[in-house]
Amino acid sequence: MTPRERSTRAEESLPARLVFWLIAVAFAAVLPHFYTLPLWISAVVLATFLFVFLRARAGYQPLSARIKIPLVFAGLLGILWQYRAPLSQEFCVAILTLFMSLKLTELRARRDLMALIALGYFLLLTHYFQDHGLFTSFWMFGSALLVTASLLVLHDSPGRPVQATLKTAARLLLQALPLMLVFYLFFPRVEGPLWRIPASEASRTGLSGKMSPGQIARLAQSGEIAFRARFAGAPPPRAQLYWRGPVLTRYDGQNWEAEDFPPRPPRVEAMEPTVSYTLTLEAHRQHWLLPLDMPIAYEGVEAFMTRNGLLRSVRPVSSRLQLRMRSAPRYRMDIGRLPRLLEAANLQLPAGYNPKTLALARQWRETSSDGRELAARALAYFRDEPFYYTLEPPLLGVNVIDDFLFNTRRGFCEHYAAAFVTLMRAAGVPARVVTGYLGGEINPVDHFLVVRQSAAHAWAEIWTSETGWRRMDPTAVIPLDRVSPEALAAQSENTPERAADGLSSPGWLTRGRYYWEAANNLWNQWALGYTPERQRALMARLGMKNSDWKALVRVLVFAAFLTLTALAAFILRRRSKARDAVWHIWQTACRRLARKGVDTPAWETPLALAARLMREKPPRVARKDLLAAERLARLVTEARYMPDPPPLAQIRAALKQIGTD
Amino acid sequence: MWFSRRPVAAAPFVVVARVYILPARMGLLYAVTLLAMLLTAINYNLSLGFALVFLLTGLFFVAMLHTHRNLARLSLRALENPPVFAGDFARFSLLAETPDVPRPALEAQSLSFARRDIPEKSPLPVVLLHLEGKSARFQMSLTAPCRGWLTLPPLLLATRYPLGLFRAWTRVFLSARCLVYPRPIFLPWARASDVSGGDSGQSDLGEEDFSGLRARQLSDSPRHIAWKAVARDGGEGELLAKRFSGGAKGERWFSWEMAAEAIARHIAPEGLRRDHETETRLSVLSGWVDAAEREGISYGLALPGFEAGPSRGAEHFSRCMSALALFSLPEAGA
Repeated sequence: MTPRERSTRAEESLPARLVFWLIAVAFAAVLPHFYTLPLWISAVVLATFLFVFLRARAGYQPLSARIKIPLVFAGLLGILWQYRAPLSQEFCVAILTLFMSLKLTELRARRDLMALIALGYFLLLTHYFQDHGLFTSFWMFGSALLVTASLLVLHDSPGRPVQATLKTAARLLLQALPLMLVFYLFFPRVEGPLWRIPASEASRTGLSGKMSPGQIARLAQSGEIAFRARFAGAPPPRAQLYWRGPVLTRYDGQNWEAEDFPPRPPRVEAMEPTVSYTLTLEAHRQHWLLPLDMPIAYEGVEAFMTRNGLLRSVRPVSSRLQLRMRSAPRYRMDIGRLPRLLEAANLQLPAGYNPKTLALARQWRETSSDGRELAARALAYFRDEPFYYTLEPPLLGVNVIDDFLFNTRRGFCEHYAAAFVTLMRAAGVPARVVTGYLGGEINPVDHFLVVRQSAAHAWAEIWTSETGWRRMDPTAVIPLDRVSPEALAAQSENTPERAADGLSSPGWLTRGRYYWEAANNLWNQWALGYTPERQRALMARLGMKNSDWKALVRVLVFAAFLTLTALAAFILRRRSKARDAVWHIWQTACRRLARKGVDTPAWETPLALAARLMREKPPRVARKDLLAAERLARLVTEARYMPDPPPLAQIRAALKQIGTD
Repeated sequence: MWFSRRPVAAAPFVVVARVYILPARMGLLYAVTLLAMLLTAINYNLSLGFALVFLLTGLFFVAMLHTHRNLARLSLRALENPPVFAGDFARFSLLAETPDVPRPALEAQSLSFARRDIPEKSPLPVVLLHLEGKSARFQMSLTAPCRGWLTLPPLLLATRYPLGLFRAWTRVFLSARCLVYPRPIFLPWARASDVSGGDSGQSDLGEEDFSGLRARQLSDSPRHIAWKAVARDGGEGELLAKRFSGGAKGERWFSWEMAAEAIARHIAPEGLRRDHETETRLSVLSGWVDAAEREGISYGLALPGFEAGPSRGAEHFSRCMSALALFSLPEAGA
């Protein structure tokens, strides 16, 4: 082997091909963010990559400060202008992304590379702001491999091929896995946030705590998953799968809005049977949880129920969240008396709006004052009059409800719920709009109930003193022949019954989607299931009840020490592979010679054996083989004792020269 | 550094036994990045963020083990080191051997300067070595300050492989020494016809033995290069070497007394200080022996208590030069 020597200071030199590695690293670290970043940032970043790439091919030169500094400031100003709230997640990601790309233009010393690589590692983490899915995790691991490999290139001998470098990096990461597992299991989990998270600006698909005409209809187009549920037993029938979200009480003539109610739960009387299930909410960055109507027990989150029956989390659901819940599909709430506060809120109507609706309600009121009778009358009105259910309702005028009830008569669930509640309130019956989701489909692969945004729904609740709060779904009374085909398709997708035989359906695309979503879900359950509660449960199983963080740290240190010792024993083990390879070749040669009738005693050195062969010239060994054996003996000896041993390939080639018969 | 002064028995063959390791600057930056990532993961409850942070934490420790392994059980052996003239670079050939896996990115550094005119603060030159097979040769170059034995100073062997997060180092005490010949001074010598007897022909000493220039060959000493000629053509032409002709085909004797006379005539007519006198005489003799060997004539050397020749050839040359190098020095040297 010829040593490669460099007497220049190793600190300052910068291998040229590293630039290409670093472009790859930066690209991998930044690419997933293009999905959420504003277009102009993505364009700037891509242009920078291209610029650096072309520059690196022509011989890399760092950009001069005169160009670079204005660029950085322009980028900063642009981002500040784009995100009005500095220090929000999106703002930080945009800044990091921009810095990552601009840093590529000014690589001078090893220090710059270190900074770039550290930035790369950090950017990998930010992928999880957006998504926790299986794909992101694959991407993350691949990118971590790339970043590690570039660190390796920086310190390895310059001639290593790319595959060898990646292989070494992969080996290092694989060896890190046991320690990762130990830390993952025993590192004391702290529930965030440590500091206030600035409100996110990115609008997420999903319910908004506000309802205006057409809002939920837009959601109906989205196949995005809102949450998943897994029932302990058989799932309840679809007619009971009302997932309860924000309760909207205030109406200003245009929008329905949620109001804050005291954090005291309503009086709920649960009736058997109850349903137990786990809920995995996707991050919606809002406070509400989406339990099955009506939740009676929950764990896995710090939450409370407000007086109007909203299960509200203390912290916004900013990442995927898993909860264990129990609900009573049949229940009675607030029987007998309604607090004045609640009564007032649920009878409120904006003055001066919808005169025709109010007149109709007054007219009904004259015939009956019983809430249930009035509700039945309103439902019958929707059923008997030519009301249509459509995803594309026509625009409505100033008096939204009047226009809908007497003019267009085409609407989506929010139109029906709003009109129904307005009618009820006008007739003196406390009523409110409840938004949430209806139904869901069972993934036949893993039997999780998947609820998509398209299942978003709005319904109504009315209150009477005898029955308490009662759920009324005015949309449900529209006969099927008055439902538009698209709406029907969107609706039917959200039925568990239909999806149950999805696997036998011919569409491979559907089947593929089920499998992919099931794999994703398995990953989520596995990765997310590990909460502080589960950690405590694990410790309890290890025999440590009521473990605090000190106990966890002790276990962590102990387990990490054991793992590290095992790793050290593995990594630092004595290996004599190189020597053995040569010896193995010689043994093979000896076996071949033995088959030709040569005595090859173990005590004879290769050179002695070769010399004896040349002297004795055994009859069955061809002259060619004799010479080959002598040559091999010399090579093997050189490999053992010479300072500059011959390469293994040469020794192998010499072995091939000895005939095998 | 404190440990370089610790007396440790040096041997010609050393197996690295004790490896020190500390996080490098990159390792500290990495740790800070991990901490920031951990805080972010906690703050935003990123379950998989924890997984990433812990994976990288694991990588940190695994890298530590690998950095340690890159030095552990490495063996070093001092090979031959050809004698040099004082003022030249002494090149110590060393052989690094691995008992198992390749050892990339080794940095070797000698722990002290042999020359005193280089301040201690200036960075010591580093030899970067990638040991990719079973063994690899490398050289430590040191300036040889004065004649006699030059011992190899302790070596600092360090590595940051694989990820640069840690720096492992060890010090290696190899016993190796390099013979340093006296720095030659080229003074003209007497012509062949005048020297057969050994007493010098005074009249001819003034004559220049320089007889012209020829293209420089690799074997020429830098001292023989006609630097003035190089300077004249602006360093663009090829290097030229001075040719010396000193009555080509005879035998020559170089003696202690001749050196004294040459010094008196060419350097310092009034004489030198006693200690300088000895060294300068040795240098003059060194220059004569070197020139004679180069010219291919037979020569003999006579010193107080030493006499060799007349003869020529590498063996005779090194015998004479060793005698000059070690003249009146304790033989122990190393």
